[in-house]
Amino acid sequence: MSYQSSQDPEDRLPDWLKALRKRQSEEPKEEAKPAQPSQPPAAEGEDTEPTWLREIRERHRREQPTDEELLAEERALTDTQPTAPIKPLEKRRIETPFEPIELEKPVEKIPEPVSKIPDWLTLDEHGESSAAEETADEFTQPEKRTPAFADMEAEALSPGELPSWLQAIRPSETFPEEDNRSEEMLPSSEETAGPLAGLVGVLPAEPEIVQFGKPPVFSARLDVTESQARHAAAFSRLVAAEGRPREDLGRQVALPTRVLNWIISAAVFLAVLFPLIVQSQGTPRPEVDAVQFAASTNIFNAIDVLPPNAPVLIAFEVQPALYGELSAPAAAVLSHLLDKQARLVFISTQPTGPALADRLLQEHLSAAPSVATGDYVNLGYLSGGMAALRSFTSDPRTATLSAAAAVQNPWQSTSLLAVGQLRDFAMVFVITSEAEDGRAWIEQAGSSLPQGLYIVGSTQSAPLLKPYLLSDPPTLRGLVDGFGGATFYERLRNTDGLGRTYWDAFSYGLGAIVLLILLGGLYSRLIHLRPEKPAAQTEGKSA
Amino acid sequence: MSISPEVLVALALFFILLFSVWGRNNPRRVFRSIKAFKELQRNIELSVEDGSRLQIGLGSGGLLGPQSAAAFAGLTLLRQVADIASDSDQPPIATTGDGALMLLAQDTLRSTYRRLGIREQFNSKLGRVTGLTPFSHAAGALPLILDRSVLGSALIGSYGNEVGLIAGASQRANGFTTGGSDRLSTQAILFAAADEPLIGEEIYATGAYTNAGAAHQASLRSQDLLRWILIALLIITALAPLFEGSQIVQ
Amino acid sequence: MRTGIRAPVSTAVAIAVGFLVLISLLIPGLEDLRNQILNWAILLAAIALLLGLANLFQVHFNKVRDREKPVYSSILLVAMLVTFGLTLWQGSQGDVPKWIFNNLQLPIETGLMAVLAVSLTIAAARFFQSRSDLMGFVFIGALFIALLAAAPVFGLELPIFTQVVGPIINSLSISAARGLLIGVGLGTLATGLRILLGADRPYGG
Repeated sequence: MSYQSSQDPEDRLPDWLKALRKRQSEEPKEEAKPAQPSQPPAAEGEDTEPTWLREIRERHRREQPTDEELLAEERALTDTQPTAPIKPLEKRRIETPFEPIELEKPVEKIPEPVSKIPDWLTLDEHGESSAAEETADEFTQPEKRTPAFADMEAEALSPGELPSWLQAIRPSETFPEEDNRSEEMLPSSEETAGPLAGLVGVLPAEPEIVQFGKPPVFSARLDVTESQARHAAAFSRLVAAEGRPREDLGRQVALPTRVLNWIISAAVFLAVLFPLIVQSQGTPRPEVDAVQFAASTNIFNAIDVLPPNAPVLIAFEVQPALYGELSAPAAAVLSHLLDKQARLVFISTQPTGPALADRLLQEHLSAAPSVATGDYVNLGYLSGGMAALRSFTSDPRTATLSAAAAVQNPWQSTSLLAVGQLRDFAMVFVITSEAEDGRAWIEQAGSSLPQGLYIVGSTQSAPLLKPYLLSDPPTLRGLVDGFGGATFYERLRNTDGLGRTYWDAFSYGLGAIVLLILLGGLYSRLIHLRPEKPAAQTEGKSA
Repeated sequence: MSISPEVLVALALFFILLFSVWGRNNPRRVFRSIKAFKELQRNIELSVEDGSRLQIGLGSGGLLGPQSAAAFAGLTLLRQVADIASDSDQPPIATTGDGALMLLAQDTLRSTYRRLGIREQFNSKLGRVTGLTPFSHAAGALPLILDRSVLGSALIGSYGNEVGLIAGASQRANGFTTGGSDRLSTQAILFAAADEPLIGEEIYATGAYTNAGAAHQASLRSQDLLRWILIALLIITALAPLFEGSQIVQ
Repeated sequence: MRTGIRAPVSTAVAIAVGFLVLISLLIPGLEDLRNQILNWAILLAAIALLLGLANLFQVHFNKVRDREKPVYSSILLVAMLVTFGLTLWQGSQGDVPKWIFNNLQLPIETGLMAVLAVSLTIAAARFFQSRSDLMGFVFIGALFIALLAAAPVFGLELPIFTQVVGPIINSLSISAARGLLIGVGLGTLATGLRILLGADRPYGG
């Protein structure tokens, strides 16, 4: 549809508008109804004013809307509310991690936001919160308001009345009166030409954007006090520092402490290394009749009467870190066993135990014929700690072993053909670096071994294992511990082994440690007696 | 005179049940002061205030043995610390040298955060294995100790000698260290190297002293009572020959 | 690891299995059942070892990804993968896995033990400063006697310590250790019963 330029405005009107005018002229003016917003505006002559124009004039004239119009607006407002009934809280409640009492408390504190926020902002047309679908935690927010909503549901709504709850929550500020604003926004001059002549507040034909002029200058500077500016700056620094990665997260030890550590380390290492380098053997060995090594003599005597080819179980419960200390007594005892042609069978509840047992044999006992020919059995790693130990002592053959040991089927070897139970071993040794491993073997296997158990342990394990030597009946028959035990055992056998090699280094290292503790202790006491500097308290973290 | 294991277990069970019911609402449930727990509580509060974290070490002992009891004490502490420090920027981190303990540590943290409604804060990195042998576990934990975001360490579990490395590093870095273990040699090391060691069976009082529940307090009271019973039995057994001539009471 | 099993179920399983093992120790005839459960536990312990390995890998992989000291973590990851692969290929008794264990892991752990010796020496020296109470002096006194009685010092034997004071201190320490062990045993027993009763659920139930 296009308009043709013409002198007479009436001639430019389309046919349908002409028919409409004709019909309107026939109808009485009092029955004229307001034009629908969807109707296209029609041009009018000055003498024949159309209905919609007359309505605009009337709206301009009146000061306040009538009650009926207000009511109509309210009805329109209710159209934006969800038509579906709002579910009560109890039906929509989901399981929350909070305690119920914590959930109930905030419900009583939030009526204010409910009254300010219109429903259409929180609930969609189905009555559900749009935010509720995002996370379960956010879903709990509408729940808190639900008791208030549940009360409102009880009220019966009549079509023509505005319910009290709606009046309470009706956001009058959110929906300002149209006329109030338009009066301020529209130009106040009266239109002098065209079909709108005589009207006040008509929108100009040219938008204001095409009017040239210097735009108003608004100051970007906030009017803040000095205190507010200081707080804002502090907050900005805080926020900026939060996002910045820390420069150095690691703590550093203070330089004097590090130097002291290096000096102590060097002194200990030199004291241990010096005798090894010069191969010193001047330190006296324990006497063969020493009372404190009586338990080692028991082991010597038991092995000495062992028949050839007797199966001997060795539980190698050694950690790699303590292998150095354990290698000396273990080598001394195993060497004696190999000399007596015992058939060695190894097992361990430590993952690294089997590998360490192999290393010990290959490193220090490779001269023995059975080691050189590989005539020994390594049952491997027994996983499961004490539970596995219990299972193994109950029935060694069916105990779950490592995959490698299971594939090779060690129980078919000649060493184990005659072994069905734990008691079938001629001797059972536990080589252990920790007293707890020795205790586990004593408690789980001691009762099923009439011949008792023998332990080769570290120096630190000895004090905790010695009580078992004194028990009645004795569950532990013999004990060789540490470098002292190794040196003593070698002396019993009239041989020089690892114990003899390390005995001097052990002695000098021990002396160095005693001296360092003594000197360091005195130095610490002197430092402690001096008045403490304030900065020293934060030495570690600030360094 | 002797007491069989079965009788000891039955007595312990009876006392735990008894004290769980009888002592539940007793206002006079006051335990003796243990400085390590006081300092630990102070450090937990400090960590929450200054946004640092605590490291809870659970040790290298597995679950299939008596050493698991020490690890369970560590897990109880982990739950309580996670509970208190849930508001902190840095939640506690649990380190262990055992795979099964790692699973339990993660499970403990997850369930605690779920109960507190902050399950999104759980991260599997909060429960980690730092090494699968005792010393590699200690070596793996050292970077955490030296991290400035870590205020201190609570080493509650079945530790061996390796605990000396952790405690020594923490001491040199001026971090707070407390610890306890079921192993006596470890307790000796902690006595020298930790700020506040837990000696003997104090490690098993962790739950009672950190308000982990009535059952923990009942079990601590049962331990005390059983210990007194055993002491009495030992004294009676030792003194019996004096009163009955050469006949030894069995 | 999330199993999806609800807390009551896991609690019931834990309590039932615990009581079965305990009862099997007291009542004869249940040894087979106990051994079966123990075998399951052994298998699970082995699987947990693998899970621990996986966790170690995951932690360091995340460190490399997040560029959080990635060099050390990268070395660890490469070493772990190479060792794991070679052990799978050659078996745990293979030449290369043995070489790796004997020449890398063992020296490293032994070196850590040496560091521990120095660390404990420093801690003992600082002990004078940190603890000046009676128990502190008792501890230091016992420490010196134990060290001097363990072996000759600087090649010189001190009979007063090795033959007189040493054995006395040894007896005292053994007695004290027994007392402490009784306490530890009672604590272990109480902890076990607490878990059996379901009052303490370390499995997140």
